[in-house]
Amino acid sequence: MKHFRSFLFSMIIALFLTSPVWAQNAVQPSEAGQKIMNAVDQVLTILKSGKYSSKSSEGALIQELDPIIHDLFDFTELSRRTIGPRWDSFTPEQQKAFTQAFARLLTDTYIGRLQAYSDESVIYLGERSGTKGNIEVQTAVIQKNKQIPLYYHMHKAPDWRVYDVWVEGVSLVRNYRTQFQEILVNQSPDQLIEMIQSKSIAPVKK
Amino acid sequence: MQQENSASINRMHYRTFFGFLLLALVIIFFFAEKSHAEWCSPWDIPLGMENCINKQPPPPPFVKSVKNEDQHLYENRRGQIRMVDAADDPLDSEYTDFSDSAQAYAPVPDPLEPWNRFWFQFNDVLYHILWKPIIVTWKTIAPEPVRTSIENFFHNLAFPIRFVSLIFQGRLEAAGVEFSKFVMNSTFGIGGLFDPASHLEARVEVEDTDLGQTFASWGIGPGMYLVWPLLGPTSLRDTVGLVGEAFLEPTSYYLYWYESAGMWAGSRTNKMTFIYDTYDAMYDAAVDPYIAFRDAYFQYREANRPR
Repeated sequence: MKHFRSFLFSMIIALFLTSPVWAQNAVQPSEAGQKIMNAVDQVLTILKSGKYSSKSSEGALIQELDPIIHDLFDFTELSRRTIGPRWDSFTPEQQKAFTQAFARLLTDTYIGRLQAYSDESVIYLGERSGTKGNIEVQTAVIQKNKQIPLYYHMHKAPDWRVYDVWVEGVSLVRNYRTQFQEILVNQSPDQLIEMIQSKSIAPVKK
Repeated sequence: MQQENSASINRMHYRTFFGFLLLALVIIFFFAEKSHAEWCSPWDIPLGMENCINKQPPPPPFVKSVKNEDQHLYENRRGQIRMVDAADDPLDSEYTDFSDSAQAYAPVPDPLEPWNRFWFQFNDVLYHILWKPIIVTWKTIAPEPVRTSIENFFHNLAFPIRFVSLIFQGRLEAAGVEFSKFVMNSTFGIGGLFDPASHLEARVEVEDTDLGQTFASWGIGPGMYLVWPLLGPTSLRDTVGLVGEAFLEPTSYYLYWYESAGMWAGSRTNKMTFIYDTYDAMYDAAVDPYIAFRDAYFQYREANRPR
């Protein structure tokens, strides 16, 4: 009886102290935002399954995630923006080889890092659109004691696909653009492609 | 004898319990008078902190762009909104930088490139042969709460840097919030080991700031790029900031220089256990790591500049 009474009291207090969760802050993501969040959910489900946590399963994980990533990212557009105005001086074969090598480099390095995934989650913050129809989908990676802003720039071609990622205000495309611009001053496009290929085949692991 | 004892304890419990209940009822009636919007902030703690009974995530910074030919809303990561020239909006740029605008993208000034490259290599080799093994070892032997507490402690200790910076940036309310956090974490957080202030809602979001960013808020550009041995990538402006910060660190006044240096190395190592795989990923993914880190440093500092 005594126990029951104190239980009842604590229940009443708990009831009063917990106000209803109101959802007025929720923003409905657009088609582009939904695509990002769906892909994030898919990837997190695969990572949470724990199937690929060992170092030897890195190749299998890359194979499993490859279709999701290629559906989400427009690597041709990403490459074009990364090279900048010089892109037009590349032959179509060079453009294709560059896109493939660059996509390999990015997916291999960053998927390998995903294996160390622990209990982070990704939240949708909102989005904004530019005047030319591109959309910035704003998300954040929630870690134990901080949020890391992760923005995706997307364009519609023909469905929404990512052409740039901004991590804490640093643009991936712009970061590579500075690197490639300096390399292309002294090297030919073929040499650049070769550099990227050799980098992705044997990532530097000292 | 024993029974009597336990009975008196029970009675004590009841008295405490009813006292608590009465208090809870007073609180509930107090709340009942408040509307939903006010529910979250009945206990105003001085200097900009609010206790939030039912802490909700902050509203998403959902910003729609203005369909204006010349100007856009641009929203930075602190949720502040400013207007930018349409030509400068990276979302509209054809190549994702500002090169198609009048404000042409200028390469980062790096007149000392060979010198910087040398120290960049030096730091990287030192990182791989000496520092990384220490980081990995510390990560395996120290559980995460311990490492978080150590990071909290050093963060709390560096309070004067953030406080003075915010004041010189003219952000007095933010400085007040930072001061509240410091007082709260130094007392209830046992000298900064814990972060109880994070459970309170700050009236303004305050990001970590430093003297370099303060100079930036006065309109001083980064100057040239500099890589220091052990310290890593920085700029001329931020180097001056670092020197100033050494004077704001309380440890500089109470410890010998080698003790300060040891503490600095320890706190850096502890902090790196959380982020060293990000460094590795960036290094592995880069085609020219030197340029990648230089560009990332400048972009990051620019994006997080107080506006």
